[in-house]
Formats: sequence, structure tokens, C-alpha cells
Amino acid sequence: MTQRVKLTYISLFILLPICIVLGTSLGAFKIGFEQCANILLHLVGAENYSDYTNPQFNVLLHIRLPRVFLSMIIGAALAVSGAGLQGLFRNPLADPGLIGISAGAMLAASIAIILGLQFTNGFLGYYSISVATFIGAISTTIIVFRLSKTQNSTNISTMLLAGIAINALAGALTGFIIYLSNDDQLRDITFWSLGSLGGANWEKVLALIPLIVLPILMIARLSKKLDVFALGESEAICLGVNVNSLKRKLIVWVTISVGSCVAIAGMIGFIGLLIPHITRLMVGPKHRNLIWISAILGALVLSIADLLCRLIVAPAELPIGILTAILGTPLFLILLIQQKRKING
Amino acid sequence: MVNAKNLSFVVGKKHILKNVFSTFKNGEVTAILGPNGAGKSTLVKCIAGTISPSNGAVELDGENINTISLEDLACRRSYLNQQFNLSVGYTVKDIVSIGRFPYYSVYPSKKDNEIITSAMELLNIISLSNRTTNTLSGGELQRVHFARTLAQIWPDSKEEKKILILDEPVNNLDPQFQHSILELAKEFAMKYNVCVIIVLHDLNLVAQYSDYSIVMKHGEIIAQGKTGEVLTEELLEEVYKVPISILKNESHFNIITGIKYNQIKKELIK
Repeated sequence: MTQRVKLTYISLFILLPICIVLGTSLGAFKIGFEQCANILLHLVGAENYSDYTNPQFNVLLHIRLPRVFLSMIIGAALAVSGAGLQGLFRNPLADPGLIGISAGAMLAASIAIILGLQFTNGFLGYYSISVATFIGAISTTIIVFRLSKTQNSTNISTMLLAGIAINALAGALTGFIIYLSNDDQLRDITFWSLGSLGGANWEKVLALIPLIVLPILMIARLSKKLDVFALGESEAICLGVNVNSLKRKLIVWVTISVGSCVAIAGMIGFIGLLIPHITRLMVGPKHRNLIWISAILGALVLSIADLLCRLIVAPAELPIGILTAILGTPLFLILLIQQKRKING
Repeated sequence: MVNAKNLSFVVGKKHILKNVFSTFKNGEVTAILGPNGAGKSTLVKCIAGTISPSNGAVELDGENINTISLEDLACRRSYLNQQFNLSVGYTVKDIVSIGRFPYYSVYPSKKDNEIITSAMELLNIISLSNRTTNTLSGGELQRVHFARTLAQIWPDSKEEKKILILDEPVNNLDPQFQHSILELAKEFAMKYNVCVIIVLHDLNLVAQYSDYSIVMKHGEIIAQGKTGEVLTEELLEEVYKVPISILKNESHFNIITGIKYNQIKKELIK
């Protein structure tokens, strides 16, 4: 591991607890840094840290902390999925939207909203949009994957084109549903498409952990093969990589993790595209570092973006999709210009 | 030893390869030559196992290539493609290290690292180690990938019977590196008993470095045998449709293309 990579890991691990403290402390309801630290220390078992009020404790434990964790695991999942897909497509412009996940999720969510499924009774009522979104995301990816299969292999460029076609079709159908919707439904669909981490609770965090941690681990396990795949498909075959199995595994894990994220938080763009790109500029293209550092950086960026969403128009909230784009794009452009200057001397 | 048994490769209705039979021996350099579109690259891709023939079989030391696992195959043969992906951002050392991918699980072992360094030294690219591939010239990139290909089948002993397949390996290289790469391939064949299969266009290089030659046209083998015997003016003129002269004695074997030797002599006398 090079010095640069080590330094990056150390800095990100220092920033991680700072982000947790900031995310749990700041917001419309004030909790001082000292009280926040006391509560967090109390939660991890340290005694003699009781200088806080009960409302502060409850807000931090039941509202802020799950929200910070939710933003972090979703940020990590989106960034790792983007890194994996960019490796698979050998294209730094690839993101989870490319294989139809987002368009399918959007279509399914729109259908669920205009059918008013969220107002039905029972489990399906409460989680109907999440369940529909997850099914929509997975279904479109399966269609794209099936369309790109020729005999025994999966053609990456056909997958790219099939993804574009299915995205266009799902987009058109979503447009038709929007046309049919009333004002309230239109508002719900629009806000869903901008993403939100509001309503985070421990239940959602615990439900998401296996659906995100397992795919991250499995995608990280493919990192060595993705490095070989960067040489080209026939080179990878010659070097002993079962490329069809690599493509299948990666698509399955990305779909599960991104599908779960979209189901819980709606559409959050830019993280899957920008974070791996920024990480590549920081530590190079080798997937072992790229995937893990993307995970940490994705977690940090999304938690900061969510914090800003809560602060900028407090006590209201901005949709997080807007913030990820506003925060991510200038950062990406600065790194890009720096990189260009370095190459040109 | 590699056996190509009745190989055919069909795309639509077009036969890219047609009933190809040949044997490639360890310890020898076999050159495959022929005009563009003769099916040379398709033949080596079938032998390397990156594409499956429509008909026929490829055998490695008597084993059908389809029954050998990809991991096992990767340790027995390496293949240098005609074109490379740029793999932006990877350094020269990263690329050569990927050649040892079939041998390690997480990080390369001490032995792997020694082999990586030796391969880089052989190709004179140690000074380029930390350069990224997008900053290299075409010839430098060619040498990097050749080093990667050598690292993949770096032999421990003569008994291992490894296979080195090179598709137009000297395309972007100056004469110095053309010769040094082919000398290395020849050395691997003679010293380590490697079966070397090379697709080449330069007839002089074929004459100089190959033990055995296969001449192809329209997807078929039209002649094969020891290089000194099989390469005749008549055959090459028929294949390439240009005047060809062969100048051969015990120490030299040169092929002049585009003009007959008698004509050169006449012009020199004038």
C-alpha cells in the first residue's frame, strides 16, 4: 500500500467520527457538541457522561443517529456500486442508472403513488412504495441483462444500449403516469425523484444493513478480477477470469444494493458517478483501494449532504438529490482541473 | 504441444477458418503468416481459448482445451493480443503484475515479484515502472504487455511445457526491439521448452526466427512445414501477389518483397 493510499485511509477514518458528531449535533433542534459527545459516549458504555436533557437524548438516539447511519450506508452502497459498474463497463461515466435501476425504480414508485398504495392498511401500505421501487429496480435490470445475453455470454456494449433503451421506455411510461396524476400525486412523485433521508429510523437501518453490507463485501471480493478486466475481455479470459460469472455477480450485487437504497431513500444521483471518479483521482484505479475508499468517501459525502439539507432551509428540508449534485459537481471539477494540470505539467 | 484438429470458425455464412489441422511443438517457434484476412488471428484466438471454434477441437498435451479450467489454462498458456485497452491510470508495474494474477490470491508473493522484476528487466522497462500507461508510446506499451505475457507463463523448469501465443507482437516496434522481442521468444522456446506461436507479417523475421511456418489464405492452411523448406518464392508470390526473391545460403535467409533479385542486380549494374 503506497503512502498516498495510507494517508487517504487515515484522513477519511478521522473524518468519519467528526461527521457523525456534526450530523447528530446540528439541526433545527439544537444539541451542543458537548452534550452530543456525552450522549454518544454514554451510548458506547462510558459512565459519568450525563450532562444532557431527555429530549436531546431522544432526538439524537431515535432521529439523528439512525439518519446519519442511513445516509452513510446508502452513500457507501451507491459509491461502491458505481465503482463496480465503472470497472465492468471500463468506462468512468457508468453509474447504476445505466443498467435501468433508477428508471425502473422511478416508474414503479410513480405507479405505486398514483394507485395510492401508501394509503392501504398493513405492512404493504407503510412500505408499499419501497417494495414497489425495489421490484421495479430489479425487474428492469433483469430485462436489460436478459437482452444483452447472446448464447452463453453477456455482451457489455449490448447491455449499455439495452440500458439506454429501457431507460428511455421507462422514462416515457413514467411521463405518461405523471400526465395522469393529480397535483398531490405529482408533488409526491417529484419529491420522491429528488430523494430524501427523512423518516429514517433504526428499523430501516437494520433492514438495509444486510442488503448493503453483503453486496459491498462481495463487490470488494471481485476487485482483483476487475483489475484484470480493465485490460480487456479476451485478456481477462486468458488470465483465468470467468468473465460471464464476473458480469453476472457484479450486476446482481449492484442491483440488490442500489435497489434497496432507492427503495428507502428515493433517487439520489451523482454519488455513484462522482465518488468513484474522485477516488480514482486520489488513489489510482486499482479496485481494492478504489472500492473501499469509495465506500468511506461515499458515506462521508452523503452524510454531509444530508446535514446541509437539514440546515440550509431549517426547519424545512431540501431534497438530498439537489445537494449531492451541488456539492459533488464543483468538487469533481476542481479535482479534474488539478489532474489535468498535473498531466500537462 | 498444441494440436489443432479440424478447426472451423464460421460467422454467418462466411468461413473465417476452414478445416485447419496443425501441430505446434514445445521448444519450437511456429510462425503463422498470410495476407490480411487469412484467418491468422482467428486461429490463434481459437488456440488461446478466447473464442470457441464452430467445429473441431484444440488439444493441449492431449487434453481438450474445453475440459481444462480457466485458472489452470491461465497458468499454462499466455496470449498477447494485437490491440490493447489503454487501462487508464494503471502503472507499468501494475500491468506487468497482472500477468501473475493466476498465481496469487490477494498480493503477489516474493517469487511473483521477482518474476515481475525479471520480465520488466528483460524488456528494458524498469525505468518506466511508475509511469501510467496513457503516458507511454505505442512501442513502450507493446513491450509492457509483452512483459506481462512473459510473466504469466514464466517457466520454472523445462518439464512445464508452457505455451506463448503472440499475435503480431512487433507491430509498433523499431528494428532493435523487433529483434530483441523475437530473440526473447526464441530463447524461451529453446531454453525453457516453451511452445511459441507467432503471427508475423515480416517475412524476414519469419525466416530468421521461426523453426516451423504455417502459410494461410482464405481461412485455410495452404502450406506448412520447416521454415527453410516451406517458404519458396513460388508459394509466397502466389499468396501475396507481389514479386518475391529469396536469398539463402548456410548463414543467411533473406526475403525481398516487391522486386525480383535479378532486377535489382540489373539496376545496380546500370
